[in-house]
Amino acid sequence: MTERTHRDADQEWNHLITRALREPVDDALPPGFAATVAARADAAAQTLDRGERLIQGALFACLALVALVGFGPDLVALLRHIVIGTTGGPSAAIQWSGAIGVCLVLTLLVDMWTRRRHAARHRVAPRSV
Amino acid sequence: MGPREPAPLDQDRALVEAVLARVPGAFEALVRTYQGLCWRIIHRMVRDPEDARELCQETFLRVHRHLSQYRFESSFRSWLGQVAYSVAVRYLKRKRVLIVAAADTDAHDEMLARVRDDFDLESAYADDELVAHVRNAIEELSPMQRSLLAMYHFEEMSIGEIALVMQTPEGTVKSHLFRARATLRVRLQTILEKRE
Repeated sequence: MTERTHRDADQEWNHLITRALREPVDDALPPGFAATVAARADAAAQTLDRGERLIQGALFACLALVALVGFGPDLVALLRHIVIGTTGGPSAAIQWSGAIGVCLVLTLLVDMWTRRRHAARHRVAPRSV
Repeated sequence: MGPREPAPLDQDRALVEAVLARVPGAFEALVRTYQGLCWRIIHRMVRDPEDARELCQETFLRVHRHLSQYRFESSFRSWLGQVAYSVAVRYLKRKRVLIVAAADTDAHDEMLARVRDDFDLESAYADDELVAHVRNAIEELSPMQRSLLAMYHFEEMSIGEIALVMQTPEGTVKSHLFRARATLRVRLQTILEKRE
């Protein structure tokens, strides 16, 4: 007969605790839990996206308004310069505003392109992920 | 809902990246992979099945919202476990339930000194009644120790992983684990002595 060691006792004890920890199945999460949570998360993300787009739109509108109020006459002069070719180049403020505007638009376009590319690369069957 | 083998790290990474890229069905797959772990951590702490379900849902919604903050520095299951554990802790604090009972930290060494190793646990394992006693004894432990036992014995998480989940030093985890197991042993010992 082999002698029971301290290690054996520990192992048997671990098995006993593990067995006791197995819970009744009816207490667990309901079937379809994953789908429900995913749908809720998706809805929450969409709400967040809408909010983000709203804030973005409001910011752009503010920017346009400030530009119009602050640099209106300069803007008209710039347009006249471009369209008719009259004398007097655009002021430094207009040049900087234009540069910032172009940067913003470029950033937005790059961001949109990156997101779409990332999504296309991961477009695989979800179960096989 | 048995324990799952932990998903390999690259599989986790692919799943997380797919969720971040908003691939349809990816988040559902992630929830399906980890819902068992989440349930066992939370349910062991809060016990009420209805509340545990709510908290599991809250955990996954939180994970979805903050997934971009996960930096792959630890396993995803530790990260998710950490979120689940903190959600459960917050709930228990709201309900004014002690997460660590005084007996877990105080000297109830006198009782622990009575722990013996000479039980016939092999036959005890086959004894359904005894298993039920152990189950009841687990229920009497503090929420933290119940969850700790589930993570260590059922999920087979390492001490390091559990320390990450609980945001506690490894030494504290070891000490709580020792005390929890010793408490169970003493309770079982008492039952066996009464039987003799």
